[in-house]
Amino acid sequence: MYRTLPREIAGHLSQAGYVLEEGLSVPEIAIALNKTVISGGKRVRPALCLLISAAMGIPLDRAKIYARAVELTHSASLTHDDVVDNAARRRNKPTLNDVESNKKAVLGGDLLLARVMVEISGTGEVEVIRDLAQAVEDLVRGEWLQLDALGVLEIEAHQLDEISRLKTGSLIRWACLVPARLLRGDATLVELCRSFGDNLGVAFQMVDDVIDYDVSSEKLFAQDLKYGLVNWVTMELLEANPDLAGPVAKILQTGSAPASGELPWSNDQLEAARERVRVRANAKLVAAHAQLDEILARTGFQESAETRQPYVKALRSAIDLLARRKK
Amino acid sequence: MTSLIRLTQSSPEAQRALWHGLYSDLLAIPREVVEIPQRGLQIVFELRDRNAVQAPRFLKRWAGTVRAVSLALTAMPCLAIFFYGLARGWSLHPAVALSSLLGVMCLHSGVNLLNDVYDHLKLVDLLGSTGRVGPIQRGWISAHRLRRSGFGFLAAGVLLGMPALFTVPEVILPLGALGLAGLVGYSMPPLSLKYRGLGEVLLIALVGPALCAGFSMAAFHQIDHGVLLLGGAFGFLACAVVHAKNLQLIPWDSLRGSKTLASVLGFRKAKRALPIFYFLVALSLGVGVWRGYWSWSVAALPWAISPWALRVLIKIQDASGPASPLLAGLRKASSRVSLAIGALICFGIWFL
Repeated sequence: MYRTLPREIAGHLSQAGYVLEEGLSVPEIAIALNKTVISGGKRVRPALCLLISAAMGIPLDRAKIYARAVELTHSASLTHDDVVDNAARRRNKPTLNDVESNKKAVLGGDLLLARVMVEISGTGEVEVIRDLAQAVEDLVRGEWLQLDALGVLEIEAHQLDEISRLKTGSLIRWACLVPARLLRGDATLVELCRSFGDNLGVAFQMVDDVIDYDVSSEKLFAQDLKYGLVNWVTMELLEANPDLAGPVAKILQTGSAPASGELPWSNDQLEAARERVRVRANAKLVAAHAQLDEILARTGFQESAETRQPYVKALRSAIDLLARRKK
Repeated sequence: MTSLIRLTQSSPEAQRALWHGLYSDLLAIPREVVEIPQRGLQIVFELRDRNAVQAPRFLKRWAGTVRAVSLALTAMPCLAIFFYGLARGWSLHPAVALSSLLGVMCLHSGVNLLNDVYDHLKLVDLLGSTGRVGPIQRGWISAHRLRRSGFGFLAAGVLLGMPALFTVPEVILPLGALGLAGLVGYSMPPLSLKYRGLGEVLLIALVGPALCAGFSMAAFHQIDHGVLLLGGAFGFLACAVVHAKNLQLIPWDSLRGSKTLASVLGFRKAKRALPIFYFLVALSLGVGVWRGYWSWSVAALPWAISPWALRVLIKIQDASGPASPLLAGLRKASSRVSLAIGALICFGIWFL
């Protein structure tokens, strides 16, 4: 993704602007977090935040603090997730709960959230701060609903949509809302940006679920199913092939996904389901492009304008890349 | 191969795609909607080669389209009255009975189809509601054809109801008119009674005592309080199914200002209200035993499925909100519970 980004944004994302300073009263927390959950990652959310802000005419220096905030908040949620999921590895590295303990991981996540609050409260942008608090609340609701989803075979599209919107979409939605608030946009612009973020967030989750069933992916195969969750691809698989309900229910209950040679579905069935989900994700992104056109029009963007053009182009590429990514 | 195209809802191309499911020569299925201020609602259609869609055979396709399970829920009260009248030794008018039963099922089918058409045109399933993945969304049948079929079923229902109308007009005419008005006004504008807090009451009355009384008069030219009690039981069963569906629609209904029992009570109280409908079924049957209309076994038999019903109810109680995945498949599960209870009532009345 970095190859398509304007140089100054790519440079910012790859710098150490996302680490915690050790100069806290308990430096060990920052050291542990920097070594585990904060390092690595694709920095999708800060990239989107910077691209959208620049595309809407906000100077990058003003947006960087929010890009950092969304990434640290995301890291906080991952830290807590790893405790809930009892995960030992993330991004090919040991997790904080594995290196230290569950208690310290929970506290580490809390510290990241607190640090974000300290940093962005200094901006005085009350609406932005309130939106972030709402995003965190939505994220928690999404995670809670996902716990309800454990072991549920017949999950419906509108339920997956709600979970995706809350769990994955909340921070992406906030990243898209920030520039609208900074521009003091009217209610229509704010709603457009919120809905734009929603579409990106849900599409992002859908593609994640497609990748979950990719044997060539660097992630483990069918992790969601093994964990007891029916994701978008599994839902499409069951919708098209109701006879798979029994075998899939067994996998959900036992938590053991069979080896690739013993799968209850054929390759064609799985590929058809993955393609259905890609179509869903692409439909969301077509809608997102339409919203982006309107957002740019409302913020006075003209194709001939040189200053914002590279960011708009990079943003559209990034949106399309969300659908095509393989990891 | 599929592709996507975005059209403005009010454009002729979008209207053709919505009504006939076609864009150029390709199958067009709406997949996403987005509101763009001053440009109106934009619909993203998925375009597919028509030959790539494999619709099932005619019977299976239409069984799913008219929702065979929900039709059985309509037929069940009539069957119960049929067995009840025979058990009481009433004189049966078989031709009128059969045409009335078929008429009621045709009316219900017509309403189901027209509901699907209007939900599709309003893009209900894409705007946040729990709209079902029906034959239109699957590309099997167009909205245009489904609407014609819906009106066809309604007309057939009215025609099949004529024998009953001619034999006992003084009862069938007002009941039939009430039933038809209720069916049409239930969810369709301008009445849309189900969204004004009258849905559950209407359902209990129409699918319960009104349906049972009408069928009893058509089939036997007789009625007693036992018919009305059976009607009450079936009315509450139907209401339980609708209430289960409305539980999931609370946020959607609240946003639109629609009043259903679930949206008025709120999620926590609404999920606790569901068992009450089943209790009212048991109460109706119990009163029937007390008044001597049927034996205690008719009231006792439905309890045989209580472990299954209890599993469904416990799952609902654990759900943390209307969007909870624990409510997945709830509508289907509650329909099946109601169907099983209805079947056991019929069995009990006839055989025990």
